[in-house]
Amino acid sequence: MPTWARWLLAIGVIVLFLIIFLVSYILYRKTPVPKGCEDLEKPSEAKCHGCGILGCHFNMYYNTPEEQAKMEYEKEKKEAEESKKSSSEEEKKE
Amino acid sequence: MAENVKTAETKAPSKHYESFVAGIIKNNPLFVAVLGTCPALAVTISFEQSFGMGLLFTFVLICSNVIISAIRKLVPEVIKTPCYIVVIAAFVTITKMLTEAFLPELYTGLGVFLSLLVVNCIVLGRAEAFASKNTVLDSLLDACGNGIGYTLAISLIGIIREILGVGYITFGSVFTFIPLTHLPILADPNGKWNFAMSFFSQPAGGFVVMGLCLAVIMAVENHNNAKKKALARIEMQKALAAKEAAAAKPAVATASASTGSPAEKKVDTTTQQINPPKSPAQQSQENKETK
Amino acid sequence: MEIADTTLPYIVAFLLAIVSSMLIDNVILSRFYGICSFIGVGDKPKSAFSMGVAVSFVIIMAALVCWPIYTYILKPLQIPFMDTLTYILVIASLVQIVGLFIKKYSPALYRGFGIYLPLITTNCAVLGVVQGNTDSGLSFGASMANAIGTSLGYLIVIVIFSFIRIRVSEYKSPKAFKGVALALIIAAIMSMAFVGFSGMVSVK
Repeated sequence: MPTWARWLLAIGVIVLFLIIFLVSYILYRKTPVPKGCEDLEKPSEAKCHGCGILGCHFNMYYNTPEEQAKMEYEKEKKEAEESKKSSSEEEKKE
Repeated sequence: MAENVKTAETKAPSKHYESFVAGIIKNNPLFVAVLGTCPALAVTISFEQSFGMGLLFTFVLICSNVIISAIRKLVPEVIKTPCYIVVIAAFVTITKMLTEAFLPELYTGLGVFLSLLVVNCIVLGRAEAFASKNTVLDSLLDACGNGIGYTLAISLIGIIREILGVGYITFGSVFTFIPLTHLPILADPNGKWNFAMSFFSQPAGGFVVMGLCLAVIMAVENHNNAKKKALARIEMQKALAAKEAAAAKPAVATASASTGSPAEKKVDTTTQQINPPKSPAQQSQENKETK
Repeated sequence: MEIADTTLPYIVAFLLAIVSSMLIDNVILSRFYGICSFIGVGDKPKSAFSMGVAVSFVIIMAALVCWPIYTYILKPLQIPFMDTLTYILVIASLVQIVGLFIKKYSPALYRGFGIYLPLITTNCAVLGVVQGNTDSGLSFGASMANAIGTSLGYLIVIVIFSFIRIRVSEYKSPKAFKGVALALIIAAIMSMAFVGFSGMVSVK
C-alpha cells in the first residue's frame, strides 16, 4: 500500500472513532432517564462518595471552612425543624 | 469607598498568585483532594521514578490546561468533555513518545501508568473545573502549582518508601546523565548490614505509607479548620440572633426575654419562630462546653 | 504472562490464568489500578456490588473490542502509537452506547448500575487492563483471561472491603484517620492477606 493511502486510511480510522464517540455521547445526553428513576439523578451520598469531579458544587473538598460551617448549620436547622414537626404531630395524635 | 478601592487594587495581582500557590499546599491534589492515587501508590517504589512521574504529570497538565483554556470559547457546550479527553490523550501520546526516546529507563519503569495519565482524575478535573472558565495565564499558573504540588507529594512518598524499604536512595538509575550514586541511610556504606524493611517496597507498604501521610495532614487540617469553623458559627449565631431580635420586637413581649438567655433549654411553644435556631445553638453550646 | 506453550489443555490454562490475575496479581491490591473508585466505596455492600458489576461489564466488553482493533486495524496501518487515544475513544463510546440501551429498554438495570456507567470511563482499571494487554503482547485468549480475572478480582475485593468498612465504622477511630486514611490502612491489611496467594499458580 503506498504511503499516502496508508496515512489517509489511518487518519480516517481515528476520525471515524471520534465521530462515533461524539454521536453516542450526544445521543446519551439527549435521551431522558427512564420513568421510575428520576430520583437517582440528584446528587446523593451514595453517588458522589467516590466522585473526583472538582467542578461539581457538591464536592466538599473545594469549600472553605466557613462555607462548610454554613452548610452544616443549615443541615442542623433543617433536622431541628423536621424533629420539631414530627414531635408536634405526635402531640396532636395524642 | 476608599476601602473598596483598596481591596480592588490588592485583589488584581494576587489572583494569579493565589491560583499558583493554592495548588501547592492548600489544595494539594494528592493529599487534600485525594485524587490521582493510582500512580502515587504504584510508581513510588523508588524516589527517582516518582520524581520522573511528577515531572511528566506536570508537563501533561500544563500543556493540556493551556490548550483547553485557549479553545474554551470555540468548543460547543454539548461536547465539552469529549474534546477535553481528546486533547489530553493527544498530549499523553506525545509525552509517551518523548519519554521512550529520551528517558527509556523511566518508560520501562512506569509501564502502563504513563498511559493512565489520560484518565487521571486531576488532569481531567482541573480541565473541567478551572481551565474551561479562566484565562490562559491563570490556567498556566494553576497547572504549574498543581503539578509542583503533586510532584512534591509523590516524591515524599517515594523517598519514605525507598529509605524504609531499600535502605539507600539511588540517584542516576533513571536520569542517566547523573552518575549512579547510592546514598546509604539505613544501610551500611560497605554493605555489611542493612536495617531496611522490604515490606515498604511491596504494595501493602505503599498503602501504609500513604495512609499515614494522609492521617498526619488530616490532623493538621482538622486543627486549623476547627478554629475557623467555631468562629464562623459564633458569628452566624450572633447575626441570626440580632435579626430575630429586630424582627420580634413588634411581636410578643416574651420574645425579648427568651433571646436574652440562649442557654435555657426549655422549649417555648408560644414563640415558634425562635425555636429552629435555638436547637443548633444549644448543640454548639454543648460542643463548646465539652471542648 | 503467556499460556501459549504449556502442556496443559487450553481450557485448564485459561482457568488458571483467570485465577492468577484474580487472586495473585490482584488488580487493586497488587497492581493498583482502580484505587480512586475503591477508596470512595463507603459502607454499603449493595452499591459496592453494583459498582463492581458495572466495572466488570465494562472491562470485559472493552477487552473484547480493543484487542481486535489493535491487532487488525492499528498494527497493519503501522500506527501502534495511537493506541492510547483509540482505546479511550472506543471505551468511552462503548460505555455511552451501552448506557443508551440501558436507559431506553431496561429501567431495572438502570436502577441497578446505570448511574455508575459514565463514571467508569475514567476508571484506571479499564484503560489499564486494555493497555496492559497490548503492551505485554498477549494473545487473544490471554487477554480475555486477564480481563475476566481482573473483573472478578475487582468485584471480590470491593465487596469484601465494603463489609469490612461496615464493621470498622461501628467503632470509634482517631479523628485524623477518618475517611481515606483508614480505608488505606484497611487496604494495606487486605493486601498483606492476599500475598498469601502468591506462588499458588505458576503459569509461565
